[in-house]
Amino acid sequence: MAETDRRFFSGLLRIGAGPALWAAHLGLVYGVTAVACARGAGGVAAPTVVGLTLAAALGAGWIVGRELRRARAGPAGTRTSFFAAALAGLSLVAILWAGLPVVFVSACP
Amino acid sequence: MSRLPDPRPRPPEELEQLQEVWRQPGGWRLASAVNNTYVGVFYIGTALLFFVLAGILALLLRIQLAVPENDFLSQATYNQVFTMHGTMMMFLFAVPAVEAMGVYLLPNMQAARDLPFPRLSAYAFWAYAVGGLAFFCSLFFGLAPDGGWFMYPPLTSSEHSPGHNTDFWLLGIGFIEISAIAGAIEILVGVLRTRAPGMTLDKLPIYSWAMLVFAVMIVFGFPAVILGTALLEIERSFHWPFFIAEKGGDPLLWQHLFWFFGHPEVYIIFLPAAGFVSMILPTMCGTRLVAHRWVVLALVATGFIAFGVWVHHMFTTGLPKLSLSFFSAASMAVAVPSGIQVFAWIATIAKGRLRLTVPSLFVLGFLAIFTLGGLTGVMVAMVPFDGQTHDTFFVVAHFHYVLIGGMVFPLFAAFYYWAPTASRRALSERLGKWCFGLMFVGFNIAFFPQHVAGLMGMPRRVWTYPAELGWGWINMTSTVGAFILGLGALVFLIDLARNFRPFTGGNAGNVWNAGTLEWLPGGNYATRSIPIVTSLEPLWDQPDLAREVDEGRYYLPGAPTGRRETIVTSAIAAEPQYLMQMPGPGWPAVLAAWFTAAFFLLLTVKLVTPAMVCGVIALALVLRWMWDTDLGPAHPPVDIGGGIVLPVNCSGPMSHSWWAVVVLILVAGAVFASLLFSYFFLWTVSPDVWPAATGQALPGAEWPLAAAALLVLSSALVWWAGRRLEADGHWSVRLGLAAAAVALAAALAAELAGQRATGLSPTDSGYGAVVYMMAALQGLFVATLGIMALYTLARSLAGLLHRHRRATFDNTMLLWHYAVGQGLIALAVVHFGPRVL
Ligand code: HEM
Ligand SMILES: [Cu+2]
Repeated sequence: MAETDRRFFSGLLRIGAGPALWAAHLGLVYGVTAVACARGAGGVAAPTVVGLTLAAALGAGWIVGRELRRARAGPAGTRTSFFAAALAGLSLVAILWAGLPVVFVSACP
Repeated sequence: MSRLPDPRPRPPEELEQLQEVWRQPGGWRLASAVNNTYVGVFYIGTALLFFVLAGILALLLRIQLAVPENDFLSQATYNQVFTMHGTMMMFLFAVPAVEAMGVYLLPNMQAARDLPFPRLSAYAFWAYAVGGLAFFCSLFFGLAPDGGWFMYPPLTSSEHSPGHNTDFWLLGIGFIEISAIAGAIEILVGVLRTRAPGMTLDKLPIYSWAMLVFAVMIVFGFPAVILGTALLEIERSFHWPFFIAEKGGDPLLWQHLFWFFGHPEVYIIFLPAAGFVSMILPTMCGTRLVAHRWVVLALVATGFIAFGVWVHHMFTTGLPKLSLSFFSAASMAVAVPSGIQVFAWIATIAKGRLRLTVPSLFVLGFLAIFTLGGLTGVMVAMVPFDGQTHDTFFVVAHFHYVLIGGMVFPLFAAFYYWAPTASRRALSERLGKWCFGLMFVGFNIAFFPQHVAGLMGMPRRVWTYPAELGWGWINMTSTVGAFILGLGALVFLIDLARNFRPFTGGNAGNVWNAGTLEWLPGGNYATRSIPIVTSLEPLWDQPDLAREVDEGRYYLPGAPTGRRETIVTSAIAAEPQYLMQMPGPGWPAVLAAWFTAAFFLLLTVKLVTPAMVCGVIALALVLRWMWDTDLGPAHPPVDIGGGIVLPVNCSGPMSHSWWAVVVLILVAGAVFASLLFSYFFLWTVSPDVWPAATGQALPGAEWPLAAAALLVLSSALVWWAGRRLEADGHWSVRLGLAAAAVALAAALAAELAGQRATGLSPTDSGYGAVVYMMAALQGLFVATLGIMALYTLARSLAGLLHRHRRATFDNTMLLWHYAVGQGLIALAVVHFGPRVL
């Protein structure tokens, strides 16, 4: 693979990291709640969701920090860093936002 | 790059040769054209035709609803007509229309001579046009689908909808989806790899970004509904109970698969439209787009978040409350990136001076209507509110505000804006203003009152209503508005008939004083030479650019290899990498599309033998078409100007075809992921049909182990054949491929034998159905790869496969390894799953 293609795919991974985390979080909290409620174990849902949300949020926050450091370190690839950081930041907000209802809403119907 | 523009005189015969190479066939042979400027215009025209047809259906619906207790349409007809209206608007108008605009605009905007796979566009277009028209005609035979545009089972199961109507939807639309995916692959690779040199990602026009996200969303979204339609069709034809609750299936599985596609679908339609707006506004305001970066970011973010909201269509299905909240939150969040774009547009208008042309009017209309639709969207994203308005006309009003406001108005803006690039005359400003006025006023009269009707409790999809309910005046108003809207569309058609003159070899030119490359002068060959791009609006920043490009002062001013060709560039920096030779007009791809359409349609009405004949012919034509690809280094490297010498054609990871296969693998992966989801979903809802509860025996470990070993062996053989190809060891290559194909098939046979030995049948239960479905999907790959292996063998025997001409082999190999990986995961799930779960 040519150097430029390698750069493309690695940039893609960095930019996609935040949103991928968000997607994984949404998939997991949804899956856990669905299975817990279907198996009459609604009690496990809320704590797991809280844990998953905190973990995913930490992950997204870490990506934001790393990309911002990279952006400050040098001009090469600042644009990639900008996009990676911004998308991870947005994902962070979306993760917290999606996880928030666990505070207000009981898990199963 | 600095040596351009090249001031030396160009050889006089150069332009003639370029014209000759890109000449279009005349008369009826025009149908064999594959060039994007032709296919793009046919494609847009066909989408417009479906818009008109589906619009006429809408007017029929509105006539029926105008007064209470009307009997203009019978209930059964009303059901068919609203289903066809919705289905056609979504699948035959909206998605194809924006895809068609992409096929037409992208190469021009990126100063490429064409998209990388012209025949694939032609195939996608013809498959869609022929298949779509036949689908429409089902209305005349009372055979049109009638289960609503989202076709929920159990209403659409063979028990409750025994006729062919539903099959028309499943096969007809399933097949249109495949055409959409073909188009998406074309667009994805086109945006990434065929750009003007120097058009780095930060100089990529917003529209290209929008189309990039659009294509990625199709790649991940459409597979879910393709799998869903396949499952439902299999259930209807062979009684594998995926959606039948008594047998451990679940109708909600359909809703998940459908809406995992269906919600992204609305953004698939909206993002390209937002791309139009971001291109049109700067031109009309005479200033650069404000917050360019943030708009790009918003496009990408929308693309992601749109995949996390599908459950809001299922708020009233009794899912756990907490699950609903996750998706309610995401549904509100998705409004944020749209908001960013709206603010960027408003700021652009504020910064510049907006000329009130027809495109600007449509953009303003879009902003007004879409914002209202977005507001009601946030309202229905709240679970309790949705509980009140679900399935009422409030929702009908909401989605017409977002669809017509968010997509139809920008599309009309785009028609008026870009028509001068295709036609000798621009469209009329006077007629255009009438068109806009009628459409805007008519739209609001038609749809605003429907919010009220909905709040008063009028359900959607009812063919009539009693007078006592007092909904009559609202509906009458609505109907009058719909006709005014229709009149607006009619004015547009008149304008087209009077002024739109494509294919004349000339165009009206840069009438709006726009800054991007699609406004460069040119002909069938696109631009005479391909410029170096140094900014987002090159035509604004380099006043002489148009003239210099047209005088051939930049790259590739002729056709040095004597064929159609374009420059392939690297994905980020757009550095020229190689020269790609491209096909001219030809029938195989076009005919293949016709026969593919025939295959699906005949299958719908269960004429299996003729369907198979058409299928085989289509396949043969596809192979015929492929035969002319993978040209190898057919020509010594050429000098494209500016001191750059490029190789001709290319194989391996750098080639455009390799990228296309990677995208195809993503599609396949998404189909497989949807199937895995189905497996775990059915386990979640119906553990009672899983072996742990039923005592169903599981195949012994020897079967999956044998299958896994065969899979690995098959991959290893292909890898070895690839190594031998490097040394031109032709017989080893052929034997290796053949053996690998046998191993792949044997692995599938082992899996099937193991399952059969336990007495499990796919018709037993949801469990049996999904287990065999895993094997069936693998079977599809075994068949595809078998054909590809035979084809590769044939090329090898014909002397067309060797060390320097191996793209065919490499692409087959890539897909092969993917299929093996997928097969291994499937084995793990099917055999570990019931043991652990
Ligand atoms: C020409 C203006 C249009 C009018 C007058 C109109 C009118 C209608 C009417 C009366 C219905 C049926 C409501 C019901 O009985 O439940 C409907 C449904 C629908 N329309 Fe439109 N429509 C128009 C344009 C569009 C466009 C441009 C799109 C999409 C791009 C669209 C998408 C749909 C969909 C998806 C449905 C739902 C069908 C279903 O319930 O299965 N419509 N429309
Ligand atoms: Cu939605």
